[in-house]
Amino acid sequence: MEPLLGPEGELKLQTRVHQNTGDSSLPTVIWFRQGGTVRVLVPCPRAEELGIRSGMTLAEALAVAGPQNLRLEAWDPQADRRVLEALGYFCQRFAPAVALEPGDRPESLFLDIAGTTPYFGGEEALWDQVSQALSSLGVSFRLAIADSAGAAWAICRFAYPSQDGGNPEEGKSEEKTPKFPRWIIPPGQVADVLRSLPVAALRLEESTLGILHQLGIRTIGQLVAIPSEELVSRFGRQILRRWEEYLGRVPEVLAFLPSPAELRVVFAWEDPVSNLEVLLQGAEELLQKLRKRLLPQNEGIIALRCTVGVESTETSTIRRVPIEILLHTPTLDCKHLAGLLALRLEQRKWEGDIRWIELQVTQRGPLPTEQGELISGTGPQRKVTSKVLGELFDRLRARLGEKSLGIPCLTGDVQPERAYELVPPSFRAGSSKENTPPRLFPEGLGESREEQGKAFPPRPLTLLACPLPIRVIAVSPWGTPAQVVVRGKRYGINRVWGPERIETGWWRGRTIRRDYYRVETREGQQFWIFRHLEEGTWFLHGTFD
Amino acid sequence: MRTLSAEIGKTRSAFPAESQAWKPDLMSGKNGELMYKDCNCEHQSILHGVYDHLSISNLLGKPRDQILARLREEIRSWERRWRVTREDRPISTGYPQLDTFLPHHGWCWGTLVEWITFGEGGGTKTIALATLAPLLRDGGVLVVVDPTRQFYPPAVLGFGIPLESVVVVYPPNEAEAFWAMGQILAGGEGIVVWADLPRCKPALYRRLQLAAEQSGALGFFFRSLEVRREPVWADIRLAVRSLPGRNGEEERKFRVELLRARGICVPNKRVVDVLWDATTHSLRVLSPVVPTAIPCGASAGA
Repeated sequence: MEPLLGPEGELKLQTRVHQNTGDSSLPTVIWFRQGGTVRVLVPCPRAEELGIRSGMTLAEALAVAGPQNLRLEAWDPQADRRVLEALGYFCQRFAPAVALEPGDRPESLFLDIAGTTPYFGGEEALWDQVSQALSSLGVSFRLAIADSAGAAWAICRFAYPSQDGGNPEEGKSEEKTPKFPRWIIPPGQVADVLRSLPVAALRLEESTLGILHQLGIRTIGQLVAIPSEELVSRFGRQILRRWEEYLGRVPEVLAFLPSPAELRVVFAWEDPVSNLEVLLQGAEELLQKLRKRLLPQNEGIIALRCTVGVESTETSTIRRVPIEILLHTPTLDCKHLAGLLALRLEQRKWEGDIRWIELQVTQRGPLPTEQGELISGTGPQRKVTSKVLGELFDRLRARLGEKSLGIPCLTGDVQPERAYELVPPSFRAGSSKENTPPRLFPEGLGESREEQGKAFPPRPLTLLACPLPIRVIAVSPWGTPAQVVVRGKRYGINRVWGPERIETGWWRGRTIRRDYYRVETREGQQFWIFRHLEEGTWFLHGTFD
Repeated sequence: MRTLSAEIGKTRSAFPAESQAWKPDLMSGKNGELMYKDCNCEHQSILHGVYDHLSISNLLGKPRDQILARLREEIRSWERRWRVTREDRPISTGYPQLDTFLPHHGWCWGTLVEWITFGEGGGTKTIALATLAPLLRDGGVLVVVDPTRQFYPPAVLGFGIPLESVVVVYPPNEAEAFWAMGQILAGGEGIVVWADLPRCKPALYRRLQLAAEQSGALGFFFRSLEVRREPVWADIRLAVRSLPGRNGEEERKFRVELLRARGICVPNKRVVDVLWDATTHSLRVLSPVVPTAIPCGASAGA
């Protein structure tokens, strides 16, 4: 086996992405379920500064930081995978053959550096360049160079002194020197290093590890000291095969990422075109080519970059016009993709003639498997498939913009205007239970949806973007409303519910203090009004339409 | 007469002024076929489509009212045909008495429902959402098209509807809102479009209806009282009027009136009074309900 180099991501990738994109003004923690407990998987650096640590229960983290000061996000293994893939493509600058760790939840990358090291000045220089490049991305990592992918993985995971304290190189700037020696194992010496590692480094089955533990076999050295005949008779060929793989005597099967060039296709016209239909025909041909390349790997397109070369009629220079398309679900449906391209292309005004069109897959993912209904259409309420919804969302976003739609999600803020936010719909593979958000309701509310709904105080279906000043006539200065004047029309009040006091915390800036009332007019209309407690003024905030 | 005009759309212009009698304008063609005076070829074909289903010989010479009644009934019969397959699996509102009140014993996939609202805070959307709650709890998706950005999603929790089943779309303007509605209505069964429908050209409205009909999506449109006299392409038109409640009670009272049901003869003043309890989040039907659905075949004999 050729030398391999494996950086490990440690599941912190998702946090780093959020940190880098800056899409949250609040410190973020990623949580996961462990049995019945919701725990912090990883805090972002700002959350760490507040004292939040990995493994804390979410309740503890909220108590430390304050519920308003923390953004919670469910751990999304698919998001981690996507980031790891992106890192893999990034690492193709060091080696053309880059693979993800086999398994459902990969955490490592493998770079086949055989033959590429001379271009970087040797293995040590390559180590430094990879280290610098990953540090510049703000990624936690551990590196090892060994004779096989398995050995490099085992050294990354088990040979480094700190297992849970994070990477010693995490977040460090380029000028700092590494604390630890470079784990570059010279060819043929990997066995000596591996012998000192625990048997878990061989990626054996849990049952096998259990038996080895009972037998008091802790290290690989102890294990491989047992005669091979006895190992085979007790555990089958699994251990020996893995050991041979680690020594590089038996090849390990890895699925390498395709090179970027394979996912970029260009169509050029002999003569400039200006007709949209011709442009789309070219795009459809390119989509078919991309489909053929991705289909064998059972992967679909998540993000597509379409670049159109437009030749100026005056200066004859060619301008690149990029169009980005982001999809809800990985797909290879050329008709759907062409439809999305058409939606975007027809909105453009081309100031010149089109010479060429280029399509590049910038992000891709495993194609979803959706089981069809055995008996369709028998029930009155058919569930909408994620494919149908995904395609619908794609069309809406392509035409109306990325931020034009979303699924509402409660933020936990008591101020009605800030009580929810729209989250872009995104495809999530895996079980839905794991992604169920933690309880977002105030304390003391029920767990079931029905109970939550019933315990949730009545809220209007229509909330004005900006509260409307109104005049209220009450029997006493701080009494309940008897009449309200809304947009110049006077309503007599028949029934009143309230007040419900809503008050925001001092830490959020200017304090909001309001007394809300639900009032019913003599005609039966219901309004949601509030009194500003400091100024004593009244506003209409919503209507129970 | 008003309903007939709206239903047959283009054919209306083929008819002579209302003051003229019908009988003198019907004549025989060269080959003995029925011809209609003062009509172009297109209108002739439309009328032939109508008359092919009628025993013209029986109608000629009959009073105008009888001819109109027969035409009206015939058109409703056509409207019913396509939907027969979907009518057999209506979507329950969750309230059996309200199902009985509705023409198809619940909502039907592939249809549009138009709700006439009476001013702000009138409660129309409350009733509408309460009837959709069982569907949305069972895997349906509510897509709210909201160019004004005034829909308040946390309110749906009060109906026992999970927020995950709600999608909010913010089109930048009215034209894009119509486009979005059309796209969503073409999404298929399981999707419910929820939107305020402003005054619009009948062709636009018709496009929405066709999208829903072809895909099987359900549309809930809310329109102000001002558009009540405009042509409607919705299959059901309802009006909800809020009534003053009693002091000390939590319940809110409404009167729901069925104004129109495509393919169904709706008797005058089809109303039902309901109570909405904001604490238990349930509807209670007050007045006894007689089934609304009166098939055209049955009414013909009546």
